[in-house]
Amino acid sequence: MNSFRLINPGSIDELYNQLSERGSAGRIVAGGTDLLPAFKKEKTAVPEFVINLKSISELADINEEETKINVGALATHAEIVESFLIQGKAFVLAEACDKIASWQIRNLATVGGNIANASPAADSVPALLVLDAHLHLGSKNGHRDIKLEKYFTGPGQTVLADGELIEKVSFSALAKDEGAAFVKLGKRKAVTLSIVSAAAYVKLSPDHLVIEDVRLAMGSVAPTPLRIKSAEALLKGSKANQFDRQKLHETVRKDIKPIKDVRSTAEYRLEVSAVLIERAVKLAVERARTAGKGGHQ
Amino acid sequence: MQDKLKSIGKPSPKHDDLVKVSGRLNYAEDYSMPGMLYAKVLRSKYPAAKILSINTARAEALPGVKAVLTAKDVPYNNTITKFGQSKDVGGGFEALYRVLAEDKVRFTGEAVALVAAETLAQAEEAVKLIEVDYEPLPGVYNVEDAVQPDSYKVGEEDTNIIAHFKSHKGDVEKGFSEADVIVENTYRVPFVDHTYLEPESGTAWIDDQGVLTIRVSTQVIEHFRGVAKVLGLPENRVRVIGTMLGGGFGGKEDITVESFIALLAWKTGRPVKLTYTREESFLAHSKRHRYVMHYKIGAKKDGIITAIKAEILSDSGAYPYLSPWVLMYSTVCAAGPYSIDNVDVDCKSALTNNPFGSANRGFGSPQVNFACESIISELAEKIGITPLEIREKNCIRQGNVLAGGMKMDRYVALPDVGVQAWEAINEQPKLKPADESKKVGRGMAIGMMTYGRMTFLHDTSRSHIRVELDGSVTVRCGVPDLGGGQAASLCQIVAEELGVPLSKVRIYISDTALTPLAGTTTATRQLYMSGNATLKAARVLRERLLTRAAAELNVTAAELDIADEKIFVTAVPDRSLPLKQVILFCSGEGVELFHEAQFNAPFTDVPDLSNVQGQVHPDFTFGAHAAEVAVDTETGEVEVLNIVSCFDVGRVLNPLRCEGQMEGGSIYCMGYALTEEIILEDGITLNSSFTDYVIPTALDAPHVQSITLESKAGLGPYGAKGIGEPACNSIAPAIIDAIYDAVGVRIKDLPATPEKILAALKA
Ligand SMILES: Cc1cc2nc3c(=O)[nH]c(=O)nc-3n(C[C@H](O)[C@H](O)[C@H](O)COP(=O)(O)OP(=O)(O)OC[C@H]3O[C@@H](n4cnc5c(N)ncnc54)[C@H](O)[C@@H]3O)c2cc1C
Repeated sequence: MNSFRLINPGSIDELYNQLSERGSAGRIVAGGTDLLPAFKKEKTAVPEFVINLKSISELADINEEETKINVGALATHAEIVESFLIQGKAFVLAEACDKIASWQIRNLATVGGNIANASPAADSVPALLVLDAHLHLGSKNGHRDIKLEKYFTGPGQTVLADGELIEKVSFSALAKDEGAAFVKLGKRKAVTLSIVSAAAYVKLSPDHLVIEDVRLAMGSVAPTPLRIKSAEALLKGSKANQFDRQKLHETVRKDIKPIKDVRSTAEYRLEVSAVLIERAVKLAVERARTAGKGGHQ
Repeated sequence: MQDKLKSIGKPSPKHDDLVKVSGRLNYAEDYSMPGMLYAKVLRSKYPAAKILSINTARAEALPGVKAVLTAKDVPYNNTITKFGQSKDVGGGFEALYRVLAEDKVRFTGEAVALVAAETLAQAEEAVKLIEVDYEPLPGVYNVEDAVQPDSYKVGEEDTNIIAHFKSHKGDVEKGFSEADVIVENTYRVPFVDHTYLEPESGTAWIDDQGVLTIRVSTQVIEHFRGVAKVLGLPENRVRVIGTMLGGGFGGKEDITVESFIALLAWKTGRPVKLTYTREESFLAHSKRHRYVMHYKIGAKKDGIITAIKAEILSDSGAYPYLSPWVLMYSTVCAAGPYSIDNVDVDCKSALTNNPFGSANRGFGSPQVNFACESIISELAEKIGITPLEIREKNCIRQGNVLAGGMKMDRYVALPDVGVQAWEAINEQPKLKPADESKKVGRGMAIGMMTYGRMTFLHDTSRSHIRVELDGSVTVRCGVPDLGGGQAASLCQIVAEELGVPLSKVRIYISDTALTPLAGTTTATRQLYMSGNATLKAARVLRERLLTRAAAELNVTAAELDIADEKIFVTAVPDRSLPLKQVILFCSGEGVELFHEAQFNAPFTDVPDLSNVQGQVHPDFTFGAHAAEVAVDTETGEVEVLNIVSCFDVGRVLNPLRCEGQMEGGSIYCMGYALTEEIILEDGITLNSSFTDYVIPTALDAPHVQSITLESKAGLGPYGAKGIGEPACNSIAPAIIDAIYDAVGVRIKDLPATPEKILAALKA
């Protein structure tokens, strides 16, 4: 592996200056758990400068502004899993981050890196998609907000411009009658990339009988993590405990385009995708029903 | 004496446990030498190609590069593989060992050229600058194609078949005609990796006497002879110092980095270090062979098996290495630990352009055990008896003759091990999963596996013990320690025999110049072989000490015993002498306080390969596994909930180590059953990393209950048998049987991935 110069900016302004100054000769590193293996395997060219985000501690904040939750890009998966705020008001994100890799990796790896790396298998992303998250991007020239859904353009491809970075990801805290869940199918219980992952968010009617609103998302079934919109349309307005299983399965299959890789064939992914979505929806409904009663939401 | 053992049978931690867990133990990669160069290997990117030319000029011109070697620079590039055996066993068993590819490459990852440079980065850069002009050849990737007469030829011979062994007994056709139920199936098992934590590593240098010295992670220090041959040096000018291994499992039984660093050190005169990356390790070292196994079995309505026929095809990959030896184990074990009148076993191994197969824990046994045990369980079900019943009705017992003609005149712990494993797993009622989609099932399998090498290799081991003047003891034995406690067990034997605490015994291992050669740490042989050599040496010294003490105490030596650093009259323990006192008497009077002993295994001739009969192995270890699994019927996922491992180990020297092997062995081949396989696409490995080659993690490993039976009927010290390899033998079929019990599908093609299970459920 070639060597590079590591730059540790002392402030966010210096960080943006460095990013703009170094241009394509520079590259951001957060936890390094995607970037360094990519350097070693020569999947990513080693740049002259690697700009370390880890020194900008304000980018690691997890906080609440009224009903909005902000998770700094530098928050590690371990910090998210352990955050009472996330556990209480957006448990689905903690649930997803907890299923990433191993303790050692979760202590290093960040949610920003998980999103920015734009892998179809990024586990935090389906959870964030059903939370309808927004990204706050920043650069020397200012800030912009973008819906997470619009961020990915292909495997490893995003709309992020040169000199720009993800500062934080924000979403609404779950409220009464709302619930969400994440389920993952891997080849083993830990340190495993998803064969398929699925997340669901539901908002139930006050009597908990009808699904009033729903968002579904999946990982590893298309070039990017994605929302499963026709299945959402199918479930919206349907009975919470008695939706048409058969139809849901057919619809999910139509919304995804899985491929074959070393982890799975495309056919198997098609088979189990609907199972996972169904399980996520059921779990989300259960959580919505017990919301506010001490259960996870 | 057997009843009052002081050290044997006690759960004492190993002398190296603390240094290991505190990270202070030095492994091969941790050693460096002043002025050391770094090596890198250029590997073939094609599975089959002609090498038209190699241009090393640009690499040689790179600053820092000290040597670039190709086949033409290797004094003896083509030699014969040897594994420390005392006897030449010749053609069929000893095959080509080629250091660097010449003329054509046979597998992806084959070593083509070597570089040594001042820095690792320079070596890496130089390797990229070597220009190899290849002409890709078609190759053959499927062993069923490779055995066809018109197939692509992997090597220089006009057939790809490198071994063909048969064994038969009675008349199988008659046996099948007498059967009420017949089952016939084809089973497949994939290439799998050893996945040791420590990749291959070593450093070579020329010492001040001109001796080429290699410090390396290896299971076989006797490869110093092989390296001497490659360089054309006298054997006493090559020294191998083995380090503690970060795992071996058979993958460090072949030569790994030794010849490469030896050549580079010889050429440059400088120390040279080479450590493989994980990806390189996956490509460069051997695999457990892929097998295609066609089995047919017949039985009467009452469950008595009348005939078994097994046709076995092993994918040897690109070079033979230990394939014929592995195939011999399969031949002997193919019909399982059963007493069957009519048996026909036909085993072939053929070259392909896949990664090469060689030793991997179990050495040809787990493959055939999976097929044989699977078909026996299916047969039981067709007859309507339990998996345990069919085994009780047919398993061999003491006095029976194995399919291969060996009479079992020692104690055979069958069916006991099976009964105990099955009872233990059924002790608790089956769990009822909360999740409706999950179903729980239980299964079992039994097995036999040898310990000790094949008897026609004429295996030997040596050990040297010296009693020090202060009553401490020094042992020297050329045993490589793979982490299984091979060295520590020898210390326990010495402590026992000489009546000293374990803490007063120090051992030096694994050095071809300074420790007596003990043979390979393979074939589950070290406790048996080096244990016996050490026991023999210890007993000679013990006798000398007792004899001297007897004169002092006015009794005969036979009336004395040693314990707790005292020699005492057995009948009157108060009449004693401090051991140290006796040692000083001996020392002052010129009595030799050291001894080296050699232990020889039974020796036989090479068997008739067209009908392997009689003794091929010294003895067998018998064991059983039972497993409980939960299968998700909607995704096909399997969770192993419980494992029971039950073995007659003869005698437990140290319960911690013995159970460690039984637990480790269970998990090792749990991966074989469920997740592990080298995924190949026309000779290219698609999963050469721990991301994609999936072994169980701590979270996947269930509780393993180890039940040890102690028949004291083994050939090792104190009646011990071997447990290292047998421990992994029968877990895969037990898990597969449990999956069947849960959801009614039998997987015949390992690994039993969720995908295969789901497809079978939907079929
Ligand atoms: C053994 C192992 C197991 C793994 N298992 C999983 C798993 O189960 N599930 C899963 O989803 N992932 C897994 N991963 C992948 C990885 O750990 C995650 O994607 C992680 O979240 C990446 O975060 P990081 O901080 O380490 O990113 P880095 O490696 O530092 O960066 C990744 C990429 O994002 C860019 N980047 C980082 N931060 C920002 C930012 N704030 N703004 C813009 N660009 C940025 C970098 O330039 C780089 O291109 C695994 C990795 C390993 C090594």
